[in-house]
Amino acid sequence: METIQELFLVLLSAVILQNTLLARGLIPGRDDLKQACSGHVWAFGAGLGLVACLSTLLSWPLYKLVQRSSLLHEKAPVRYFIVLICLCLSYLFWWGITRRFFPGLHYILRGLLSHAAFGCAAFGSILIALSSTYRYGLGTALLFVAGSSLGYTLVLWLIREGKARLAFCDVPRPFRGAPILLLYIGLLSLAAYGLIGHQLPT
Amino acid sequence: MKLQTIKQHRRRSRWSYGLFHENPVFVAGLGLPLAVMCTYSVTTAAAVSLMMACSLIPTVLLACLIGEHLPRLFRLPVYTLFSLLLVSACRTLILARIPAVLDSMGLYVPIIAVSSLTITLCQRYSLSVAKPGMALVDGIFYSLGFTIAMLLIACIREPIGNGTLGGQPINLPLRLPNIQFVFFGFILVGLLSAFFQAAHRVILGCLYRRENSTEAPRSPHR
Repeated sequence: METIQELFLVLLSAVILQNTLLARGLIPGRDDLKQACSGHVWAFGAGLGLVACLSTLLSWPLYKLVQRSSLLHEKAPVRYFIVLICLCLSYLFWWGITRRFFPGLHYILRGLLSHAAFGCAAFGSILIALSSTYRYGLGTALLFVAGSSLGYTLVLWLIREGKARLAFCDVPRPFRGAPILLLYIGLLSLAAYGLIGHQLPT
Repeated sequence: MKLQTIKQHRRRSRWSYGLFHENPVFVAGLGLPLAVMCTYSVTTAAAVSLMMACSLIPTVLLACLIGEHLPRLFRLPVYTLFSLLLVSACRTLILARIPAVLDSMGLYVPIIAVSSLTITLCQRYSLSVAKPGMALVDGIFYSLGFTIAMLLIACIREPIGNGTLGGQPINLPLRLPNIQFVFFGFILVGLLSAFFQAAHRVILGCLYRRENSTEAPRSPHR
């Protein structure tokens, strides 16, 4: 029961309390914020989840090996490389698999997969999950990364919905487009702060 | 309606596109995580800008030189790994001089390598029509534009939030520690972005009015 409770807390923390976008500020580029329909947002989220979970699975043993190693003087850059190389491998794997076996899915995901794999959300959430601060096991790290991807997708969907509603508002001309969207994200982040509190480890 | 001056202005400003006209942070909306999270002090903002410049310029140049010959599938992995290599080298240099800054930046150091600014510029210059000279100029000016944006945000956040500027204490009647948090980063970038949009419109409006201001014809009865 305690294990289930702990896993639930990790998931809740990943989705809401340590949300990759609202709490960590890992906002995607302009193109990803401009997702036209909610189907694209969910497809992006699915791509992000697939890539991030597989690369966590690949990088976890190597990451821990480097962490325990006493031979390396400067460990941080090696850890970054491990995670990024695993992200690249994971991206290539999913790209190949979907192309070979699921051409329909590949058609939907092919553009979004690169944005998901090489965006800051996947890289950031894997680094957080694997960092020594949290001391997660592999299962917990996977759950954290999956939760992060879910939380990120939910916030992207919330942003898309907000954007659709803002389109009907009489926004002053200088604020149209990106500025009003950033103010909206800022207010969402402020709302999330009510849950988080004021301290977050970097 | 004459638009010669506006066209000339556009043509002339193409060289410095990334500086103001398409500032990566305020206009293009690129590199936002760093602008939101790493601008709580001027020193941090300067360190991030330096790392961004050191990784962006060579990566864009690499994309321009070899991007066309690489299969499309392998382009982004090559660019991001090369960028991370440069960020790691730059990190070592900064670590030797100001280690406290890097400690406070945490996971945002490697994020520079997968920043949307780097990826967007690399994808733009992977095309066969791209010229290396223009890639170099854009790399330099986008880095400068990014630095200007980062320092501008940090110069607002640090004195008001922390009561210091570049680590030196300053006396300000207003002190809001909450300005250092993520949500205010988003709000401040949004406000500055609106200011940039308004300024751009004013400049274009002035150019238009200057060219199209015709004197009223004199009355023949006078």
